[in-house]
Amino acid sequence: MNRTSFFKNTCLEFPLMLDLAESASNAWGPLAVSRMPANEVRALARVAPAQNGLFENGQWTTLPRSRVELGDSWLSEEEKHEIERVVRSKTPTAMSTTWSRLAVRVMSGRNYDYPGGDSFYKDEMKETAAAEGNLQAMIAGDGARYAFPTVGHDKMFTAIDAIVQCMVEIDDAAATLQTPV
Amino acid sequence: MMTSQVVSFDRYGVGWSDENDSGASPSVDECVRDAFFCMKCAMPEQDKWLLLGPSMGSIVAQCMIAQQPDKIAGLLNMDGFPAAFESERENFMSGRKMWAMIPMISWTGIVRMMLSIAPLDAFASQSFTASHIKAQVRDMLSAQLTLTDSLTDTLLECCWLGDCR
Repeated sequence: MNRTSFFKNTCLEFPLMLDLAESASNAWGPLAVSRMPANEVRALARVAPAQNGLFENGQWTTLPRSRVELGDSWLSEEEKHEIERVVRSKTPTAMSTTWSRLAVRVMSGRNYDYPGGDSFYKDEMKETAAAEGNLQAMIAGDGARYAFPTVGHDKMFTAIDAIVQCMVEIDDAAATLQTPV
Repeated sequence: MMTSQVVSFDRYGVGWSDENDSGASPSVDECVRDAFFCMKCAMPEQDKWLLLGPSMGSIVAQCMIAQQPDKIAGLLNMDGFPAAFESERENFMSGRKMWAMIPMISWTGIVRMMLSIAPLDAFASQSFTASHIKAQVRDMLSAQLTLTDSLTDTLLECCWLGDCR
């Protein structure tokens, strides 16, 4: 039990977290959004999520977008297809090939969208977060991103209905992709 | 009725897992290896997995997928923060030094004094209040400490509330 060593352990978490992020980006290679041209990241960030709201009692309630979702509007279908074409034209990596066989759901919360948090969590990073989620959904064998504009990062576990729904969707999709669990 | 089995674990050095008394951070490979080891121990017959990666766990999951792609069939990336955090390495390492310093200077009372004057309300939010942070830190150390840096708030959120409960 590590509560009494919280500070010491948190210190040890920093390098691991950064190394994990770097390792994941290396695996993505040219498809790592942190290494993509800014205009492509911007376009990816503006791809509309499959849903934007809350999922409770088996149904979605659509809500206004959060400040986390930047830009004046989401991409049109045509613009979305164009950025998808650009992404798919990039040199595949082992990671992207693997990803194309996976069932993936992305739940995007209200990341650090508060005073203090947003002084650190810069607009650029908000865009990267949205772009990364959209990219992961876009190139998955079966993918979707759901945005929860009123749910804080640390409250995501309270979105029980949505988590269960996502896991059921992933399980069903994995069976369809012939990678049953 | 569909039934599922869930394997949930705290990574080495966090939550209810063994304390990391080595003084060194686990490596990415060790982190990934430990995760697969825990899963294998819990469900030896299971060959394919669905991963639920919250926050920092989403990057752990991506590294697991990269290292053992044949073992994973799906992923729920639950509000994982972006890999762009790699570009903030310097800031985070500075934050790390600050965290290392807090236990060393807490006996002086300086931290308590900072708590009394820090404008923590500025950091209040719907999702993460200053009193929330203070209450939990106080619970752990039985002392009043303060977190005056928004970077620290973010890390606490990522590493503790998200993954380590």
